[in-house]
Amino acid sequence: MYHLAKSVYQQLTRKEEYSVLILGLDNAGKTTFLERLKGEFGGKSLPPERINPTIGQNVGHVIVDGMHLKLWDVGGQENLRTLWNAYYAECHAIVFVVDSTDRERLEECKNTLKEVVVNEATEGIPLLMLANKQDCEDSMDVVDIIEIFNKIAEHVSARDSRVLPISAKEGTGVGDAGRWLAVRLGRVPV
Amino acid sequence: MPRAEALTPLSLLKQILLLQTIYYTIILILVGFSCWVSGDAFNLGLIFDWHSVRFDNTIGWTISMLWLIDTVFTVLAMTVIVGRSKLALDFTVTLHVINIIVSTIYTRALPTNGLWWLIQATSTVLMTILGTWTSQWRELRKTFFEEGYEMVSRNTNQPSNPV
Repeated sequence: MYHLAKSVYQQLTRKEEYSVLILGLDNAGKTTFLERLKGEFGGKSLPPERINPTIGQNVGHVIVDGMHLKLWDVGGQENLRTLWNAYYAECHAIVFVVDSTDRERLEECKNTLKEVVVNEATEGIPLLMLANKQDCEDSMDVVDIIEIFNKIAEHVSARDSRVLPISAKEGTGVGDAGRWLAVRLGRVPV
Repeated sequence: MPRAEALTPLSLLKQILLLQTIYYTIILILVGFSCWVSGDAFNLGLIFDWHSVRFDNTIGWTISMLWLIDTVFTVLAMTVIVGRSKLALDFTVTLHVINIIVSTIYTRALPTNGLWWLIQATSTVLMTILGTWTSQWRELRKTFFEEGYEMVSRNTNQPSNPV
């Protein structure tokens, strides 16, 4: 009877939670984006200057328009990327953060994104690409970034995807990114 | 073996009801058989009326013992249906609480029979201990490490860059 009552209680108080995976090369601003998103939607957040490179993962809970999002921010260093595979099966959306100022590693960035989207486990999952660091003067335009990632778009065409310009440091565009996720996730079953 | 996700309200309710049905079916067979052997008249009151459990006549004694035998058989059913040692206490208490309610409703009086309560207490303790033990036995049985499977297949494709 105790377990029956407990399970009834859990069913009644259960809230639907969506997992969002934040990917991208190292130094792209994944953790800064996560912290900014937490701050934007009423949580505590770490200021950008206090964020160190992520080894392992950070997890954040954010409520956007009544929708519970669980964000997984995983380390982006090259030898940590092999760990990403383990997250694909459980996530409902992927956020791919691109460093708009890092022209030298654009090729690496493209290849990394390609590896993510061609993986069977990510099929049909909404993909949000964030052109980060738009506050920097030498950053590439979103239009250019969309252009560059068009080659990968052939794999992405079948699913929801979007490129948004943001500055995780300044906080511009972060709210829009969160709301885009909430809208897209509202369409997929948990 | 039921898995963790099987703990939904509906499945728990089904298990409780099934166990209760089995509990009463077994006592029905046991009491029915004793009556047939001894030539006594059978009626449902022998099972559900708490006045039937008494030590001053043969049939009272028999019924008291049959309830405890029923407990042992129900433990087997519980091991098969529930099969989880951590739920044994919960299911046992639930079963007996329902039995107390059923007896009270059938007799239309709260049980004041000390012996009946003693049988319930003994039965609860017996079922909890035996149920926990048999469920544990079931949980700890060898399942997938038989037949010489390799425990871990080592991945030799390690990343070339050392961390």
